[in-house]
Amino acid sequence: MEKTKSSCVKVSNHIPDDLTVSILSKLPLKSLVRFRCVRKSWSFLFQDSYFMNIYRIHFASNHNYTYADHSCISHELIQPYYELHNALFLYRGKSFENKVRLDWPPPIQQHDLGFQFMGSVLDGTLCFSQNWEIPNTVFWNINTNKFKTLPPSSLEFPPPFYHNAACAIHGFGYDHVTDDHKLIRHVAHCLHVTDDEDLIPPYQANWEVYSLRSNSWKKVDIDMSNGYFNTDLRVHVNGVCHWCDEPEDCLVSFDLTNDAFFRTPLPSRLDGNFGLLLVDKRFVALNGSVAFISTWETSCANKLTTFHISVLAELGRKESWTKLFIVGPLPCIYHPIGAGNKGDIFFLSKDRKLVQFDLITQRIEKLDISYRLGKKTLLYKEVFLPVGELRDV
Amino acid sequence: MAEEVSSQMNSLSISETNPSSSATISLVSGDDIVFKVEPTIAKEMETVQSFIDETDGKITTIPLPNISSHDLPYVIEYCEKSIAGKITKEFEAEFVKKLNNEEVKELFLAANYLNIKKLLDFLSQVIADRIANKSVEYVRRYFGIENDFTPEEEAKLREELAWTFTGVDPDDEDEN
Repeated sequence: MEKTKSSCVKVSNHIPDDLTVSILSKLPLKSLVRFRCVRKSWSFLFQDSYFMNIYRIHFASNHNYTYADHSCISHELIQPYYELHNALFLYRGKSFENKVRLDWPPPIQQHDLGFQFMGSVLDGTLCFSQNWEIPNTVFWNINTNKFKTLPPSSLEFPPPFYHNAACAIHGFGYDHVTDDHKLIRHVAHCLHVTDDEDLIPPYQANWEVYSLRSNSWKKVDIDMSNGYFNTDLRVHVNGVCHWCDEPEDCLVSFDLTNDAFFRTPLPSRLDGNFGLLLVDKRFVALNGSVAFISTWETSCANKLTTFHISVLAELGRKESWTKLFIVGPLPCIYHPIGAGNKGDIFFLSKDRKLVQFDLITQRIEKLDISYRLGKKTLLYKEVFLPVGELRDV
Repeated sequence: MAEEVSSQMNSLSISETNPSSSATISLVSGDDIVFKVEPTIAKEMETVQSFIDETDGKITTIPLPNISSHDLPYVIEYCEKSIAGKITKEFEAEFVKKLNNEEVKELFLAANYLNIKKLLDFLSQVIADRIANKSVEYVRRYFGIENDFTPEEEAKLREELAWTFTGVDPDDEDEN
């Protein structure tokens, strides 16, 4: 029998142009940029506002999270008596109207100063640390209420002639390749400022990574300066920890799976924002990529803010920053706080409330969370808890 | 399975309508194989349904010259799952696992011709995923696109976008 296929009348085996849009709009950024070389009309895709609108919507809505629940966790400083206390609140409900205070696991002292929140990952594990020079660091899964205090590392004990060690935690995240929770920090060994020992370098620096699975620390031999780093500019995306080397205006990324470091200069500041003032910089996780949000303010009396959101398509490549979204100008918003999992960005409004902006619908919604003075961090993102798993807490 | 169905159906004349089975719709592929489906399945295919509606349901045999008997069973299977509300990520992954890139494209064009939005949307994502790491040359062949750059223009653009050419899969002709 003849192959039946040959008798089939095919009008064309080629994908018509109107259908290519639906395919191209679903490509990762790097592929889409490469395919600008396919033909002339594709080389102008990024200037095509019709296509870019479709691409943006798809980019913002392409989340793999099936958790329908709407929750967020906020770390706040409260003052019931004289001392400030660290408190953790869970907000749930459509506009986060239900507020529950969570109890800290025993290793965390609520009144301790030098308290830092390091981040959270999707399974509900949070990381906190306390104390200044040698922090006491705890991983805490709020779904299972299990916690783990990190053991001391040998680097915490300064070598001969050095007097103290200072740790700075740069990132906490989940390595899905090895199913492991990890933390990266910088440990500096310093001489006292009064010391006058010419033969000893004044400063010795090391990077080390903790793995929960092996419950051990590992030194990472990479020559990367600690820089000055701002804890607001720290984000974890898909097993990669990102922070900012502010003096160099550089994004530093550390891949928890293969211990690789990357440096990516931030997008150029002078990018069509003449007459506007750069008032804030943030990194957020957007659709599995790291995104940089710069906030620009008009200098007139009635200040308007505009937010430029650039997505990094390839670590280490400055030219791969792609400005995908411009939000605003808006009259009553200070700066972004972070991104949710569904193409939504959280902003702080001028009346110190949180607002949620949906990149897909462009709708803005005021939430029932006020951002009082003294509130430290909002874990707006990553922790979207499945309903019904909080009973043990 | 499709072969079995079609061999039974082949004996029927296309124009013949059997009053007792007026509930079913006969879809005739481009290579003249008849597939009998429930009207609910036909409803999923907008092109087929509008054809039925236009003739007030008198015609229940629909020729689909653009669709081969190779693709039609896949389309029917997807529509059946869709009606049953059983389209899961697992089903979709299994559904396209055995299809090579050319077959996915054919099915995509079939979904477009039949105007099945859900299938079209799903397959466009499958194609996007499968070409994401492919070369520029592969994409030209896949979409049937003629390169309209001069060699100088293309070289210049490639140089400018050099960072996007890392991690590209080598072209594999066997897939076609």
